Amino acid sequence: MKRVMKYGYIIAGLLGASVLWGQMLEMSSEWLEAEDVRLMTGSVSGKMELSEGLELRTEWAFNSIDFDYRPDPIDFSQMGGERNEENQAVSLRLRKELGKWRIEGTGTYYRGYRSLSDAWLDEFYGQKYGANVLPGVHYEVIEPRGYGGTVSTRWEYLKSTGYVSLGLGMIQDRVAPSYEIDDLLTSFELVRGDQHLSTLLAHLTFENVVTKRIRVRHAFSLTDTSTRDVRLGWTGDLLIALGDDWFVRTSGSYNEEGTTFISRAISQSVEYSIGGGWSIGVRGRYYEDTGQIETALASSAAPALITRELSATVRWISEGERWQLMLSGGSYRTRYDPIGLGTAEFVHLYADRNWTLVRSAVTYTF
Amino acid sequence: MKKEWNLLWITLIGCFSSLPVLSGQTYAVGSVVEDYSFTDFKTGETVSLYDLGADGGVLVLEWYAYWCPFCFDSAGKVESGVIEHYGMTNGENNHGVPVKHIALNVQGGAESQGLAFANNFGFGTVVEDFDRSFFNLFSPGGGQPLFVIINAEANSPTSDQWEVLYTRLNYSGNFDSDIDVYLRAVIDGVEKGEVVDAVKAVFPGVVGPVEGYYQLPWFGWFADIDFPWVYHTEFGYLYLPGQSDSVVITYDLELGWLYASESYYPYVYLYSQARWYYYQEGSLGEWWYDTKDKVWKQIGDIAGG
Repeated sequence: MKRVMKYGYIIAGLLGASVLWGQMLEMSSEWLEAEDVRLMTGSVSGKMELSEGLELRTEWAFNSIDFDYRPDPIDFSQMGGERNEENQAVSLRLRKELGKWRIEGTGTYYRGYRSLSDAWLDEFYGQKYGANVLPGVHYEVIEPRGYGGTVSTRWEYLKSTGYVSLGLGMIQDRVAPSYEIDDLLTSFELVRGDQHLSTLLAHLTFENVVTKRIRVRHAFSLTDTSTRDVRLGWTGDLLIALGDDWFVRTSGSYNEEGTTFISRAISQSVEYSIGGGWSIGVRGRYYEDTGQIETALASSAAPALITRELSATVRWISEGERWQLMLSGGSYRTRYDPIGLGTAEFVHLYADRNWTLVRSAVTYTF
Repeated sequence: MKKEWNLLWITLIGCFSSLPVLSGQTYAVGSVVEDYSFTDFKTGETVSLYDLGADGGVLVLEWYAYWCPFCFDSAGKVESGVIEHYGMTNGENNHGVPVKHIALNVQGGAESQGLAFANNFGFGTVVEDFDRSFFNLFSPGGGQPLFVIINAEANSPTSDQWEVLYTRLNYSGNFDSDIDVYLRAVIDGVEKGEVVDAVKAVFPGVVGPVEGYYQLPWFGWFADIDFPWVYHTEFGYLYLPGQSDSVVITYDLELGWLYASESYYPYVYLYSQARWYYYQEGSLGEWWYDTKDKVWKQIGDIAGG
């Protein structure tokens, strides 16, 4: 109840600020549910103009992770049970338009576990090493948190048709670390992976209106996280308007990290405007990777993953575009390669799952 | 002199080559394992490898650490494929050889966890190898779990007693054939050793046993208590290491060491008295004729001095 009150104050504050000085208020949510896991995400954001050409956007996001912890059945030392984790994040974005240039800065702070995997692994390590009977380090209960910031600039090098933007950023994370037994040949000791991760980000993005009906976007990124190899990525979008009522978006991405990790994704969506502000659409997405890069010590790394998503969307925009509503629902499937050596204990973390997916968004422009 | 030096060198080389710990060598399949002393993880008592295989059989050694995921996987397989499998055949392999599973715990300082692991996977005998000194004789590079099979069966036609029959470090599991397939193939390959009568090995001409008693025709009847300890129907308890069918050097609890032979018996030489006695069983008990003092004595007179 206390928590709900706290969130209520934050939401009320954002709403109040947006109503008094705001231009736009947006609420969105995502709900993903599988047999043993429920993931919910909600966010409220508001946008307001502080002065001419200077805009402030605020966002509060809430993330809930509920799961039935199921250890490897053969590992009698682990107990099953329910676990709930919550994550909150706040972010601020300040944007200044200067003719053909746009300058933007963002800052973000969060507390809590950011993914199912992080929370699941903490439960595992807590049960496995929480008795603290082994020599070496001791298991510690850690509340993950982090902060980050980015600065970017966009240059309109062709009026209304060509943009290039460059951004730099950093993130500092305090994470729940992994643990492993170190073999000293005459004894064993428990060692801990890094609790602090430092990440540097850079991106270079090109957006072009190729013709009146075709837009393209290419984003190249570089991510350098401590203890890991540099990750290089590309994301591309192609948006085509087929007549006045049909819109087709094709997106693709490619990332590689070191010589071992590669991920690829492609998505396709089609949307049809049926009049009266209503439109319907379908979206399909395919993702595959070669397996997770472990942040510190080996053994809990995820095997190769393939995901498939198919969803349908209904959208409504009021006359004058003051209200926008979106509701989307579909199926999301995750399929892992068989677990590898030493990862049998994570069989239920890296289990194949069939998820139900629901997304919604409400936007009000003042 | 040169010959003595050669003998010394041969002796030294022989000693060191048989001590894997000192020479840095490790046991491999075909090696004969020397005795090793452990602490029983459950009782705290000292027990040796040879004690564990004193009655022969096949020893299946499984090292484990309670936190080791490979150990979890393999222990489950070994429990069903070895411990329970041979439990259903009276604890014997298909040749009637006893199969004994011995778990070796390598993680000290975590008694309840180590014990819970052992109990969960049906480990009966668990010994400590916390510093992995015994482990390192088979796998000095670390890792776990480790599996070793040793033949403890004496006089087996298939392998020497205490010979290493199988070693396996780590458990690849998952997509590999089950470990019990490998282990059982080795375990079932051990054939029962020929039963050797310890008394007859020393006294080939002995008669019997008849209702537990052997007879050396000139020395009388005795029972095998824990050979070479015997119970002689006339002399009582004797330590009888023996020499041959015709010569006996034995230790009597009252008379000490004595010598007897088929040629001279019932003349018996007592080392403590440094003289010969003539032995005669009479109606009042044993009589001993002192050949030096020319008098008959009873055993108390001799033992007393």
